[in-house]
Amino acid sequence: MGKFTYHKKAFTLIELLTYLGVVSIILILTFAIFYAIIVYSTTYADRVTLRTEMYKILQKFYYNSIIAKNASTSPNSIKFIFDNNFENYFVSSSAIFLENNSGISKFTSDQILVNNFSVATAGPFINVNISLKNLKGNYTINATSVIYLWNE
Amino acid sequence: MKNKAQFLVEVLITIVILIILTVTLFYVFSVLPRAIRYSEDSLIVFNLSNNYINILNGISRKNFQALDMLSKDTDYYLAATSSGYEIKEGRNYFSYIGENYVVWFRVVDPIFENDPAKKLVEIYVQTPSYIYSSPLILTNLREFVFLQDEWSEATTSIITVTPTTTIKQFSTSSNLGTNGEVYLP
Repeated sequence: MGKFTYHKKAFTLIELLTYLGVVSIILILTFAIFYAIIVYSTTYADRVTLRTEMYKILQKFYYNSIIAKNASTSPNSIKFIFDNNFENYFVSSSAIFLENNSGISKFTSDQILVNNFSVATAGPFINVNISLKNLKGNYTINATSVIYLWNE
Repeated sequence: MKNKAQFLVEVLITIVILIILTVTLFYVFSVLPRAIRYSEDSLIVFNLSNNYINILNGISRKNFQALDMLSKDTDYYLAATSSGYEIKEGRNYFSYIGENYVVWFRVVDPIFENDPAKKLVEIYVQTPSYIYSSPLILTNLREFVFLQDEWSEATTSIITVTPTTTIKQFSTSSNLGTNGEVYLP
């Protein structure tokens, strides 16, 4: 009959439970951090794209309001007249297109959709209401550009 | 003794890891959303400031006298009308994506560089976090011709004239300043 030998355990039960508890907390925190980073990265990327596109449109309109000689409007388009050129911005298929002496090109990115692009005049001012949304459709950004022709 | 030292090292390592994770969590849930918020505010500030610059430039070109009527260091805002924009006293409060914003302007110096044809205006946009201000110099660009009292008086009246204590001013006419200046249209 074999002799029973007692081997000293590496961990007591309490030590083991404590270690497991600490490891669990660290794992949960790590998972939360990674999840939050993924969510915020996606959100941030979508919003940055929308803001960048809106900046591009507004910057162009404000700049044109300083240098343009004249402008004509329709409910969905605005045309700036320069000395030897023109720029006609109009909306079609949820995108803003630019027409000039070189032809017609897409002005906005493929990463966004144009929700609204409406043009209205009030006295010497032209109000352009712009609304953009991301491709998923869960983020929208709105702005109104007030244009006054400085050369008027 | 060895076990106690090992236990102490393990506890210290655990504490350090927990602190690192907590700081990272705080950054992700507090700093990142705030950075996104500030970034979105910057677009609103850019948009509103430039709109106010364009509108005030338009008003200064079309009706500079409207700016003469404004008091120094009083809050004004621009209200849309069917024929353009009008200046109203106070501040414009509005909400956008659940956050509150305020926009207004002040005439900081009504006689900028001792020139009554120049005004220094400050445009303010208040976001949930900060108040941004942009200075703007408005100039009466219409060409000054001469003062009405520099005219020779006619013996017979051909147009209506309203006498004042110091100078004669036309009662109803465009392109005339409040001090009797005459501008080209």
